[in-house]
Amino acid sequence: MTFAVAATLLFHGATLFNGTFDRATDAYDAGNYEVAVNLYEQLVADGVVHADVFYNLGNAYYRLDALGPAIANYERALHLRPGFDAARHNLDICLQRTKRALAAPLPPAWEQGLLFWHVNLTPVFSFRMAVLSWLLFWGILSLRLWRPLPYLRRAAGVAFFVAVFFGLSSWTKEHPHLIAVAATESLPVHYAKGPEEKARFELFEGDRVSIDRRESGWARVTTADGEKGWAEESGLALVGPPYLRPALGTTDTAGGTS
Amino acid sequence: MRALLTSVVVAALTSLAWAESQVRVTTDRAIVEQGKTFRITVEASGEDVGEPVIPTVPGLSIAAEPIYAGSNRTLSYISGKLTVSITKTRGYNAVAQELGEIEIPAIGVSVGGELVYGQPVKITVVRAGASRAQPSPTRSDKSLSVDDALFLTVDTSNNDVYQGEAIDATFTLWALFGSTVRQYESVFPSSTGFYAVPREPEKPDKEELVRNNLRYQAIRWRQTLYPTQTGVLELGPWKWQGLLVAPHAMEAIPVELATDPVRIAVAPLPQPPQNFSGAVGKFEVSVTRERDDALQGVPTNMTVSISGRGNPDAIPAPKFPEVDWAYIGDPQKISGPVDPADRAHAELEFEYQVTPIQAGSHVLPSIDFCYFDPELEEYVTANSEPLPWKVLPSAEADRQILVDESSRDTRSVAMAQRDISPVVTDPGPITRRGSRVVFVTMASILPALGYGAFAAFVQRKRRFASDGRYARAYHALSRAQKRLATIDTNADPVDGLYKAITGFVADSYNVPEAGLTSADAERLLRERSADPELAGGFTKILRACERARYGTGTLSADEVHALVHGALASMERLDALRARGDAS
Repeated sequence: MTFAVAATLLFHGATLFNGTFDRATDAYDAGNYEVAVNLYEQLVADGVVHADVFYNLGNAYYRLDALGPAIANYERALHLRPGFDAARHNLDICLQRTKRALAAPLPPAWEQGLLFWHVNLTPVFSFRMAVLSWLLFWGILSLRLWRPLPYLRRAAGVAFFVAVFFGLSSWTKEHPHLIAVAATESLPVHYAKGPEEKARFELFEGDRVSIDRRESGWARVTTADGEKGWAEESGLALVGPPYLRPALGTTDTAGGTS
Repeated sequence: MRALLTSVVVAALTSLAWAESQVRVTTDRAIVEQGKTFRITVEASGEDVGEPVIPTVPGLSIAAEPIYAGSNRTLSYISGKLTVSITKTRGYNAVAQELGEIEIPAIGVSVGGELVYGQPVKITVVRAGASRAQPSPTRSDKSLSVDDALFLTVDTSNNDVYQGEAIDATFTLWALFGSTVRQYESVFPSSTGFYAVPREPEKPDKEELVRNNLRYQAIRWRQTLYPTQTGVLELGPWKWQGLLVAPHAMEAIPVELATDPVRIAVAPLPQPPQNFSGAVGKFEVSVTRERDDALQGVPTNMTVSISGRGNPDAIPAPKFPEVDWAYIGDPQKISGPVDPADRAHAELEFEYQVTPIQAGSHVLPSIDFCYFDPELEEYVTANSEPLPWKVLPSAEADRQILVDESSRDTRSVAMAQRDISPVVTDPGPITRRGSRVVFVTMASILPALGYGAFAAFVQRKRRFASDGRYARAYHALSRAQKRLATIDTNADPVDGLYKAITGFVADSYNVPEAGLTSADAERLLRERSADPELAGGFTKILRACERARYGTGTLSADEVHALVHGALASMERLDALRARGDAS
């Protein structure tokens, strides 16, 4: 009975979200890009984390000439599905339109060294592999308890390490280093937070930076080459998670959250 | 012909400068007292150095023989050739006989067979004791007035300048040595028409100087002025008022002083060329970069340094020639430290962020910095060296290079050729993503708990298999209960009850069941049971059964049920005791 209710709710939810998605896609096809953005953003605000939704949202922002939010959403889609060729293609086109095609910030050194192999894995795959290898580890231990066959100890050790590495990969993909994209034509980066502080350098729309601190509407950003400074969050589109709606890019706020 | 003449003049000047640098004449003090001995030192360097030729100087007596003589030999390789250089130092005692300024003419030394002269040296000769004590000036003293004891001067480095040219202004308060000034106020001249650095003179320096054969404490304020207007500008007057306490005087004298205005003629700059930066002075430009090899798409820093003499605040960032292989960001100005003794000395750096767009070997063209040189009275363009750049391709290189090299605006051409991929229309079922915390927690803990339960199960199973005593004792109660449950259908219920009890005891204590009598059971129970009352209960039931089986008495069905009930209760109690370890 409980299962039936849960299945019904799940089906209903899926239908509801798919309906919103279809309406957004219809609006996009009709050239109503602002409506499409609002509907896609509504899905995101409702907790939908889906590569196709982010990809379509990126397309809608691109059509509105909002390069920063478009790049942020393509990055989201590629984070969820690294082999998403269409998203990579569109991201490339957006980067070509930016002023200087600034390279994306790299993940931390420990992640590059330890998890170099997981770049092209989806978060779901890493998570499933972590759970499966964890269950396999305990299963092998149980089997060894029941019947101590040869090599079971080694197999358990291998399963444990696989579980640990995929667990680390899954955690890293669930909590990636925060990336943001400059969403305004020109965004000054200051030596300290505060508009009165001296500007250190400038970001242009579409420049990708990593964020290591966020305080009272300001974010400490780092470029690919290690240049650091404070920029106003209102001028940045966060790649996330959290998947926040960028402050810029749309004018109609119906159904949207920020 | 003109170039040849210029070369000859330059060569002559260079050789003269070299010659000058070979002989150096110094004195141990610039102010000497009349009749007192001071020292003149002559230092000469070269391959073959002779003795100095000491000239005759009117008013000055110089010893013919040096009081000190030293030499130093230096070996050096110049253009692959070993060169031996000797430096000879000679010290001569001298006595000044006449007051005033005396110039010691150039002293000649034979260096390499040629007579080379050092530079002339000026000394000031004062009265013996004048540098230690001064007469007390008073208003009634006719020989030394208040005006001699305290006065102001304003000196400028140049009174005929170009617009924007640096003028060093020095404001000096001369106070006779030994006198004191108190409670003074100073109003410095208005710098209207000038860009003044600092805005008001600050932090004076003090020095003891001789002026008109009198020793003074000179308090000097310095300011650098840059004329912003053309024509004749006036600097001043400088006004000063305060109290003067003369040497050895008890009374303070109020004094008011003012200087005459200084007139400075400012000429306009000639018609400037198109690339004139606005800087006036003399400058050098150089370019350095953070790293030799740049990575495509990764910004790197490049620094343009401008150093020289001129107004640092009037030096704009140099303009970069446009290049199609890199994006050059706006500069950030970094001012170097200001030397308070020479505020017109500029040390500026402009930091540019360069983002290479195209991989390959490129050259950043030289940077032109055009300024007006007031000494040469013409515009000069300083150039930096062209900078080669090697740009390594990045992982995203294929995204950058879109069209052939003939196109100037690669990005806009690419946009005309490519469009984004269309939207996805069938994403499959879209669901809300729930929190994974509960699932992750359960998935982490449950396998371990399951393994623990399984391990306990396996251990128990193995004990049953390996420990027969434990297995019999563990199953004793259940077996007995099964026997007693079917007692009603038994042909001889009393025998069934008896066997159930003896079987339970035998299982509980792992002894053979066959032939176990009530006496054996009682003994076992009393030996191993901690509860004598319980053993007595079992014995009573067994004896009742024996009496019914072997004696004359028979048991009714109710009596049998009562005995079964009592036996069950005792068995459960014994089993509980055994399980707790009270009975073994």
